[in-house]
Amino acid sequence: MSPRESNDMLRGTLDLLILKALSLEPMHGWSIAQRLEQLSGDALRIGAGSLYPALQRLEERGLVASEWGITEENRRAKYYKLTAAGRRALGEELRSWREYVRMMEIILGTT
Amino acid sequence: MEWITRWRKRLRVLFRREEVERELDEEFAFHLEMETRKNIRAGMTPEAARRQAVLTFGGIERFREEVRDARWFAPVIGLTPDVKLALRMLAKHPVLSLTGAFGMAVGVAIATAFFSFMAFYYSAPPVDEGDRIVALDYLDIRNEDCFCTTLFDLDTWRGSQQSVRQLSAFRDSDRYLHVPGGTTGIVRVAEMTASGFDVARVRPHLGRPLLESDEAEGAPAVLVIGYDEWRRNFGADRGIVGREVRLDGTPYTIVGVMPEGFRFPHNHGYWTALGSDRALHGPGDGPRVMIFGRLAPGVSRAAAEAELRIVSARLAREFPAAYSTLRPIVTPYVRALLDVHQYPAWVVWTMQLFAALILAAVAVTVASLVYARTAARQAEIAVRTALGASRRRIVTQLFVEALAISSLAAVIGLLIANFGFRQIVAINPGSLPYWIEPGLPASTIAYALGLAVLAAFIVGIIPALAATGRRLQSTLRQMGGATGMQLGRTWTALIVVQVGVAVAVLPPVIGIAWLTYQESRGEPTFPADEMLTVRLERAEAPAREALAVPPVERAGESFADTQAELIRRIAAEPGVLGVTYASAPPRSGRRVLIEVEGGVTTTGAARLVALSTDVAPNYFDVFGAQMLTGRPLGPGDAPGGAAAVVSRSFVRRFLGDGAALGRRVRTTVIAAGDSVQPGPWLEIVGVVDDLYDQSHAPELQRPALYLPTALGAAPVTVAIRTRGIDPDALVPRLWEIAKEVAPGHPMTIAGPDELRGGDSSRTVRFAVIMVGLVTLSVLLLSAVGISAMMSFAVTRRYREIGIRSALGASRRQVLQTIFSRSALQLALGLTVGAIFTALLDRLSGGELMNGQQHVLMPVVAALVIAAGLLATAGPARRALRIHPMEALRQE
Repeated sequence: MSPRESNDMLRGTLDLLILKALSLEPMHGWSIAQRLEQLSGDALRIGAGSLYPALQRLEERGLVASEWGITEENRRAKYYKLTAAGRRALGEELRSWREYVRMMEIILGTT
Repeated sequence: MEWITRWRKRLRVLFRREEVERELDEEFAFHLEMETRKNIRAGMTPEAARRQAVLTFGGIERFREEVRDARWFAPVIGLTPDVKLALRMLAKHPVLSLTGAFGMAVGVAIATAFFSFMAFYYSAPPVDEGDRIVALDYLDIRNEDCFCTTLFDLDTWRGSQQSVRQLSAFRDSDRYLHVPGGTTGIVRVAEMTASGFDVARVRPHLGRPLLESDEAEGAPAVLVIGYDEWRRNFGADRGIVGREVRLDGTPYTIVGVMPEGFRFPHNHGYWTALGSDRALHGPGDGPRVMIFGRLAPGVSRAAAEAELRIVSARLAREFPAAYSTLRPIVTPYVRALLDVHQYPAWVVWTMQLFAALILAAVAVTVASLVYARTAARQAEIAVRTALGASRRRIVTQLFVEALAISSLAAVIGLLIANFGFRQIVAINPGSLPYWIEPGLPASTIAYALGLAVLAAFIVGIIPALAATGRRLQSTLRQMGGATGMQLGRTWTALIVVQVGVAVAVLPPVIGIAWLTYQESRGEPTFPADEMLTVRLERAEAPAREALAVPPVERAGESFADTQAELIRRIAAEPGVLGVTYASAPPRSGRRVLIEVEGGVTTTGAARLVALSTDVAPNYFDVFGAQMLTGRPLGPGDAPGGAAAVVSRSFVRRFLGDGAALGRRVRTTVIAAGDSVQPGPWLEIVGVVDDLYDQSHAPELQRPALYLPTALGAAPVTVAIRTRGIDPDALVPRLWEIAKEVAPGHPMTIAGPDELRGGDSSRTVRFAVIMVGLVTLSVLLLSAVGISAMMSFAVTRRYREIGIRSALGASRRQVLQTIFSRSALQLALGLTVGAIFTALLDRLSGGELMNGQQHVLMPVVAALVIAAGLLATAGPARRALRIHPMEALRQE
């Protein structure tokens, strides 16, 4: 697999993870990274260098929307939330991801 | 609704970048703070926690770049990184980008306009095998001039050669059309041999075309009309065949209507038979006609020409006077219509090449600007190279940047060319062959795109190659200080030349445009609304338009008698108050240099230019011009005598408002290159008011000198003053009278509009716009050149300036360093330009600037200096802001 392809795959995976994290509640960038870390049992560390471009990309595609809000500690922060299109996209992405995993399982399991 | 939000955000990134970046910073700061707190909670000291957070976060700048990239460019247009980078660079240097684009746009406009002409040059009439239709003509080897074939040649060629079949001929003639119970007006008629319809291979929509029998002497006068004319003037009447109309008062019977879109041979909607009077003319004599036909199958133009040469060799032996200097040529039909068939194709191609070279010259200028900017980005390029970017990749990036500028230029250029084209067609309708659409053909658009790539190549690749050359290594070493590029002398020379060109080109161009504009504003002091002018030409006058008429002059009657009869008949018409004549219409006499006895001579600094007109004794009466002092010219003043009347402005300008009567003046005709002896001394016997009120711009008032004349062999302009009738209503009668008195003589009629000068306003506006565009592009390019140069100089001397201000140099001294350099370049450029213009003006005999150089030169100089200083202001401000510490730290 060329580096570019793997990059694209990772990018797609990260987008899916972010959408998943946001499906629970609107969050700011840092807490998205924390949530994914927690959910993965600290196996996954999302660098800011991947996270913010991904958020911009998703916003650009209309899958997430952002607005400035106030945190519990009374601090200004930018919150991201899923749009209707994002919710639909999450459903489709999940389905295709599961199909992909199932397919991989079948292939890998039979060899 | 979401797409609206999305687009709003995209636009925000574009136009409110600072705000967007501030928000990014805030978001990142928040992220860092949260990360730091988390680290503190995990037991780190605040400092360690902070450091760790920053480490895991990475460099802020890289994120900014990535976020920006992830934002609008890529998803919006799906652009490659090169294009993204290019667009960003262009947005970062808007002045250079826009000026470069504008300058190149003017270049593209010129080149594409010419290219469109090339498309027409290679076009053919849209009829069956239209590309086989050729024009036959003679080239006079003495003056390389054309269009001198007559009906005699048509008959000769019809009987003596086989290469060109269906030989035909036509000529234009403007006739006064009168449809009983319908429209009237002047129409252009093609007098054409019947065979012309065979050449076109087009059947009529109704009735029949012209037949050979219509050409016979004494045959009934018949008319074939075009489809548009049929619909417009005859209500698409299907029973039109057999109806009668009048042309110049003669009844014609309509025999056919041609189908829609057919306006052969040039741009015609009326056809009458040609040739009924051919028996009257011998070799080299008779009306000029354009001869055309179809190449016989399998015969090339060269072969046809060879056969014609044999025929003409025989003619040259038989009639040496008429044919010994004529060489027959066979050219594609359209080239004869466009009147460029006398030039071989390579001449046209060379001109096209030159038109493209104008763009190339502009592109080179822009390239040098880009080079300077590239020099400023030397450090960036060096770092990117060190990080592994290949030279090809960097060159590609710079090429794409240039392509973005030049594509914009191509679009603007096409718009300008298209506008210009439409204006020209609108000003002079019917001047183009009917199949040529007033607009830019598709091939022109493709050509403009090709030009854009060429320009991008010059603008992008050449500086890029230079900038990424061998010196990169050393640049890396001395980064932060001076850039390693040497621009000095070449650059200075370039700027001097640019300023020089601006100074040399602008004064005459602005002068002509301004003069034309101001003159069009002149209000007549005579009742122009009541007047008409008529001008009868001699039948054998050599002008092309005038050639299309037979020299039928009645035996024993001279041209003077013809003109006198015409005037007498017009004066007898009801509604005509007075008729007079002069050598030229108002405002267009001979330009002469005036010498006042005991006054300034014509060789002095200010040239005394006046318009000299020969007028009839009743001229001022008919025009209602008021005599201010003295007497008008009377019957007692013999032509060629010593009496002269001058205008009010003549006295004010040349005689200093002193007593005019009795003063003596003499004139020298202005002729380019020839030194003409001054004429005899003339005595001023009267002063008359100016015919046009130019009081809004008195310096443009043309002083007038009136001399006595009588009718002679020379054509005169007859001026008619009417009373109680609309002058236009007199026009049909004038045509009828002219037909009776002077059949076959070309005649032009000018109405009140022409006398008022309103007709030219459209031309003037067009000229002013075009001149303005060229002026602006030249000025802008010079200004940006100077600005880039100075900016470059400031960058290069960054440390020097910093150290000097550290050592206590005042702001004034720093500014002096900067401005003295640009002032020197400006001064050099101004001098070069001024010398060049003065030379040109002298060579043109003072025509170039019309004696206005004392106004124009300072204006242009001031403009150029202002542009130059303004251009230096930016770099100067930058130099003032250099902080000594920062400059030294870069060591």
